[in-house]
Amino acid sequence: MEELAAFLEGGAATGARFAAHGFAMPEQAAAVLAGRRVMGMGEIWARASEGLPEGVAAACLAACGDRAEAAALLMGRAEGDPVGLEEVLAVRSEGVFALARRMEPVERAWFFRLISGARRSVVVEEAGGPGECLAVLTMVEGAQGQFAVRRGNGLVPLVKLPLGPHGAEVLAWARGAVLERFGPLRSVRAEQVFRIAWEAKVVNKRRKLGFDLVGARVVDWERGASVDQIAEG
Amino acid sequence: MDLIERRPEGLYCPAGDFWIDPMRAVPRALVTHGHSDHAARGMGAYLCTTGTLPVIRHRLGKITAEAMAYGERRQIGAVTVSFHPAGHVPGSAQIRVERGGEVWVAAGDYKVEGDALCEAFEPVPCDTFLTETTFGLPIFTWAPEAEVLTAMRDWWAGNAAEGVTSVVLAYSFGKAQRILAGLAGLDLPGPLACHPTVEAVTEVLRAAGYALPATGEVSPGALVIATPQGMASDWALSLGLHRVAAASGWMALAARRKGVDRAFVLSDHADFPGLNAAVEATGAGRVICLHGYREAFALWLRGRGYEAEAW
Repeated sequence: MEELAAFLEGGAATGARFAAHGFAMPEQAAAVLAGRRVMGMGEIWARASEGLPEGVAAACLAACGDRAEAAALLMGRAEGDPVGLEEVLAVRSEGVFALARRMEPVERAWFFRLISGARRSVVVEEAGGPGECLAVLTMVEGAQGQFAVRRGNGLVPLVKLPLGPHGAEVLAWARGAVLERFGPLRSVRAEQVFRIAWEAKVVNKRRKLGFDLVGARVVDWERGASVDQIAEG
Repeated sequence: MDLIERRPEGLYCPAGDFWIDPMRAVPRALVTHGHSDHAARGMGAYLCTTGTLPVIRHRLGKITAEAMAYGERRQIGAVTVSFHPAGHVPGSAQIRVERGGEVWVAAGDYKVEGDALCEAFEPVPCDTFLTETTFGLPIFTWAPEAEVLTAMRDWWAGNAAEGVTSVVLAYSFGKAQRILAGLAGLDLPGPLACHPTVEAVTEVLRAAGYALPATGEVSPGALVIATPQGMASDWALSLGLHRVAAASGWMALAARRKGVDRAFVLSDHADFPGLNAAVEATGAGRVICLHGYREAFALWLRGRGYEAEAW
């Protein structure tokens, strides 16, 4: 986490720099830094306009001329958490990272930002902090591995990661453990266990586990561990 | 036959042969309040509340006008009419029209939340409710007035500490005096002043018995309430170093906040929850939406089981 913070503190906040660290946009990085979830504009709007007749939602959009602003005003209505103009102005003047750090832990907050003349906004929600667990390697694609945890009797994808320092050795094993091939993707026997660590968990309802890991990495190859020992997702 | 019809001149009651808030010259006009988009010149005779009469006389000059107290009933033709508080501006009213047990209420402009100046909105049970829908979208939800006025006071205090005059842009009748009355209850960092147009209306209201704080000359550190037109006149040259804020419901929208140093979302109209609450409180099964986002609000109401239409 300190590494991430140092990255955010240093240098120009260019899209390329954030993309290099796996973030779609600076706001996402800031939100993750603050231990919160990030929603994209599509999801925000869907949630904000839920239950409104189409004509009413369209009129709201037309009145604001901006989906982010309309969503912010509607979410304020729906969730009893009106967006403060002061906060909007604060973000414009001091930047989203400073605000993310200054904010008390809250369930939900808005970040507005003017980028190239367009206002963007994200909603952030609470999510988990750093942690680690055991996971089993289930697929290999190039130098990356798909790791999974148990849920009930099955395995559920946890995260896709570079194989790290054990890469060459793992690939050598994988060549003899292929169950199926899909182009460069190789499904392998679920028997090699790795210790995975991460910096933050962010909620993502599109994932089977319901969250994404941020700052995840392979810590070690637990050669002696069995699949039965891996975590319940 | 409907008790109230839509006509080019405005809302017309055929059974009483009068218009409500007409914008074209008609023989007899019932006026909900003193704003110029409701009390226009040129009517043969005006009927309004006792609180509205001084204001429309001030604005329209020599007119033939009569006033009624809130709740007082009068037979006009085949209908009985009465005025009931709307909470919009001093003297503002909803007009109740009754014939043979059927009741229609033309709400004019209204605000459900109380303030330190206006007569509080009174829900009037009716069969058909003609509601304004200036802010009839769910994006419009107002913060409590006390919160907004405290923020205004704090902004003013910050300016006053720098010797800067604070100018708040507001309608000359209603909003301006509401701000004066609301701020008067707070710990103020300096004197209050008004643009001459605002001051003239304020004086009319004082004479009519509304409790309003003293206002003086413009001075550094003062809070001055002015109209946008006033700021475009030579009068603005007397302000010296100043910052400008606007107080309006429209300030909820970012696009409307351009050109001012500070925006305060303060409206004399009901917000979306307020409109819904007012409609529900009347018990009306039929709702007619006027002004603003009338189509969208009618659509919203239809989804909630009302017979609603936009005029």
